[in-house]
Amino acid sequence: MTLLDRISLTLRYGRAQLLIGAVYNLVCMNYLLSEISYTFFVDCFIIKVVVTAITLYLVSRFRDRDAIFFYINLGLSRRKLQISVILADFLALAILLTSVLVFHG
Amino acid sequence: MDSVVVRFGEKTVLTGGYITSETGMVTGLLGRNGAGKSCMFRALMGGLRVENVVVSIDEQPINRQIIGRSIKYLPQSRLIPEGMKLHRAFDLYGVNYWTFVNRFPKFSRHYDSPIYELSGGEARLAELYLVLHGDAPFYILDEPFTQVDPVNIEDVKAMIRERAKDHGIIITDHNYDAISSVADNLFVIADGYTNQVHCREDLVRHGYLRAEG
Repeated sequence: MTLLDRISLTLRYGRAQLLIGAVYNLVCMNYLLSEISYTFFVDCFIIKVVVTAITLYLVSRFRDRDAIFFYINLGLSRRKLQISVILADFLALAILLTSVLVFHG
Repeated sequence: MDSVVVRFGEKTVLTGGYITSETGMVTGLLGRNGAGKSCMFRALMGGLRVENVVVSIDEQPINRQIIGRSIKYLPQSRLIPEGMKLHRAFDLYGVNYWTFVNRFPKFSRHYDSPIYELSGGEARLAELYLVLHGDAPFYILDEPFTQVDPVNIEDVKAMIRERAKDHGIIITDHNYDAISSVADNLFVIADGYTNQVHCREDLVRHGYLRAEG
């Protein structure tokens, strides 16, 4: 399995979570564009932790309990997939908000 | 696989779950509904958090983070993610799609089909082939005969026998006749424990079958 396959499988596994994360990230970016503030930047990350925890809980409640085995059969563990999805989500938020702060001084 | 303990709140499902498989053999696991067969497999594969489970191959504990490299598992419900095309799933598992079509020609038109376009029986057959031909020394099949056409059941049994020549296979199903005709040895789960089955009377004793006459 290539690195590209791994990335595509991780994105497929975490699709629902990443979609909710992306909406949150865009809302944060929009607010930050209208009012540049370092405090708001920090608040975004604190609230993001809570939103991620709730999303994780909801997604795991509604996901087919056997859906994970396609990935496990390929040597990917639930823990690794979950961590990769959370990291990708937080990284996207960090990149978006940092670029807003950099471009608006 | 040994010492499996599964509890859901106050309810204890398994207290002494145990099963073993050898290369060249098909091991059948029987048990009534809710006995814990699927729980045991899901625990083994890391899909269910359990109180205790020990999994080893050749007496060496295996890294459960990468268990899929040693054991491929066919779960009870849909394996291939919704929306994934059939040929993509075969590519990821390193299984040749056209060899599969040689065996089951009706799948030639499904090369580019997402899994949801297949009927339940077709999807089951494709997933069973995919798991059984994935690169691993052991396979676990949870209800492989479910939804499969009666005309294909003999093909499935033949495929399991073929793959068992150089792999170890554990299989569970409610189709007792199919299991007993394909398995070399049988286990039954009753009252939270796994018991080896030597004769039909053992199954009666453990409440899996009714006494005849």
